[in-house]
Amino acid sequence: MIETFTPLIVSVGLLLSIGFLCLIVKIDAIRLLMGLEIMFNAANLAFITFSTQQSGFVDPYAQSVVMITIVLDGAVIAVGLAMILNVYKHYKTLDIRKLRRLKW
Amino acid sequence: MVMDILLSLPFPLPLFILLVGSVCIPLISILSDKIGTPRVRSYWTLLVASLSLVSIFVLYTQLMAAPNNILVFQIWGQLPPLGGCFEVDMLGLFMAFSISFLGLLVTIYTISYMKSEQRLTEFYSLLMLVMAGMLGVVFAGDMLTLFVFWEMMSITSYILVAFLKDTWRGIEAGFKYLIMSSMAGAFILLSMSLLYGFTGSLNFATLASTLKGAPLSPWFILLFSVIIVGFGVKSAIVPLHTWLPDAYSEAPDPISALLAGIATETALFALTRVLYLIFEPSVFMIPVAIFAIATMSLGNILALRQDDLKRLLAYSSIAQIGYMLIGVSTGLAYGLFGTFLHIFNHSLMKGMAFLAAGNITHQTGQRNINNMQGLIKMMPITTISLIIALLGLGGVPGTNGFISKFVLLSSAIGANLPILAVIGVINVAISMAYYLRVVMALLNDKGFKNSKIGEAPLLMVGITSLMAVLIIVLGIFPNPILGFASDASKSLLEGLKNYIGAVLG
Amino acid sequence: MNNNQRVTLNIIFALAIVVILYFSYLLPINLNFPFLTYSSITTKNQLISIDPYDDIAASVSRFLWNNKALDLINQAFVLFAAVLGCLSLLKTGDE
Repeated sequence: MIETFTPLIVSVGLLLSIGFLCLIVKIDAIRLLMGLEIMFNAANLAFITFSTQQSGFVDPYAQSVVMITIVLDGAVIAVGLAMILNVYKHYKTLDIRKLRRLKW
Repeated sequence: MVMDILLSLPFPLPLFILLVGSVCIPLISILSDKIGTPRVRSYWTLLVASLSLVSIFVLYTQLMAAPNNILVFQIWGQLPPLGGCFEVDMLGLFMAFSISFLGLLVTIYTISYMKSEQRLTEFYSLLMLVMAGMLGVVFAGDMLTLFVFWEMMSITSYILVAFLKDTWRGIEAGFKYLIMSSMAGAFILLSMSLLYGFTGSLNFATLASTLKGAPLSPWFILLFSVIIVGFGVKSAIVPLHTWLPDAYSEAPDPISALLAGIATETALFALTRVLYLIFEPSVFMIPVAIFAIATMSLGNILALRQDDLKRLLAYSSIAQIGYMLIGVSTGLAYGLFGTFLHIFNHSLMKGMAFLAAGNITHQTGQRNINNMQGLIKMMPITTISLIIALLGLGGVPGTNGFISKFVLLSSAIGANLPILAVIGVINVAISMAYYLRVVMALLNDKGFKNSKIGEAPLLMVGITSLMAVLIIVLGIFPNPILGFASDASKSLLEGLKNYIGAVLG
Repeated sequence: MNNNQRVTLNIIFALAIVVILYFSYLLPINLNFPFLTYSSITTKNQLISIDPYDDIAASVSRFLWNNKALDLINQAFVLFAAVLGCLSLLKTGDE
């Protein structure tokens, strides 16, 4: 199935750049975690893309890797949300422009 | 009988002990709270950490008895091209020895440092799990196993940096560290998908046997840059180092020692392993040399204007990683020998420096260098240990830091990159400037305003003085550790055929 | 007593809804409904065959445990670490 390679790999690149842009531009802490999740999903989509390129069948090895990494990424997001709760308790806001008390 | 069962597990023995021990800690804590002896969990943690160091020697005898000195661990007969595996060679054993040794010293220090703490159960369990994660990274034989243990090491270190959550400092540092390091995890995953697309499997031996001599194409340059970004954030290569000063200075003191001593260097080890398995050294010699120059220079220059002791040590860590990158960029076995020797020496010296800073903070509550004048009268043993560590970091002859720096700088000349040696010597000179500033502030005669400060508790002082004695002894009689490190570096370059043959054989 | 009365009223409402749904098969709503009388000829065929996908969960788990058992066990330990960490970040610190 060679003809589905280009759209999928272009969408991997697009998702990666959208996630990275989200990490740079957004000022709310929860939006940062969303951008992180988008970047993880871009990498998982790359695995799926490369698994369709065998001629004749779809390789199940890449999809088992994706099943493991989805779980690990969920754990990272959970820890991030617990940390955001503590950030709110100290700073009373979720604006990351206020997280600048540690300098140099 | 028990040894036979333990040696036929699918995990290497130190990793198994740390994982099972860390799961048992909450159970023991609940039972011991009911009985009324809450110190049992400290003793259990100490037992687990020391058993893991002892089992490194058991693994060494197992390794010597194996063909070609390589052991492969797998579960239920699942063969490596599809299943995950652990592959232990001399290099993995050397890094595991560094991790277990520093881990044991930090555990003994923690028992005395964190006496008055509410969430002590979770702290001990997470400390065992961060050591288990690092051991899994150095023992991994498969890219997916490396990623799973990389996430275990990362998640536990985010939580440990932000552990003292009653002040805003640790939470801000931990949040910034989490965002930058998880972004790097996504890039590592992207590099894994590219490797899978090239070869069809993620096993290190299959990757090395087929990708080694491939001609460069734009996809390979993309793969190289994604690997550098992904592994480089955790190992503090220069444009990607900005999480490091905040995280090291605001973490609790034993955790700063553990992270600065060995976690950053484990990430550097993973980068070295992946680069040497996939690419020829001539491909990445120039880019890694440029990163080495930038890292050394920025770390040393930014450390000159610091007043906080822990932040100064954090910027000095960035500079030491730059020295280790010189060894990685040479591509010779001598350069890699310098890198791994410097990893072990740096874990002793920087770990001890952070623990001594912890002593000072515990007794005086100060972290500013200008307020530490004349501390030698009140805390003599800690001050002398800290001075020995700072002289070792600067590379004074007589300490083990001199030997590894000498090997690194001379290997740069041997690989036809003399500019690295020149810039290295200039950076050593700059670094002695700020180390001597701290030493002069400690030895100043003008005395403290409040001279009721005594020496730190016995265990904390004992650990710092033991590490100082080791630094001097290994500087004068370095032969055991030199033999170990040179075996380790040989097994990465010349032992590659054995590494591939043990799995695909 | 106002809270208790509100709780019992809610329980009675929930039970009433369950009973109505249970006996709703007695209501004859689907008399003379024109099932599929306006479809064209192309959508009367079966597009995807359902039969070989009967036990998709069992075959996925069989593949994972046959080939990647070590990584699944390691993932369990990582989840234990994440749970312990979230617990330590969210505890309020009183005895």
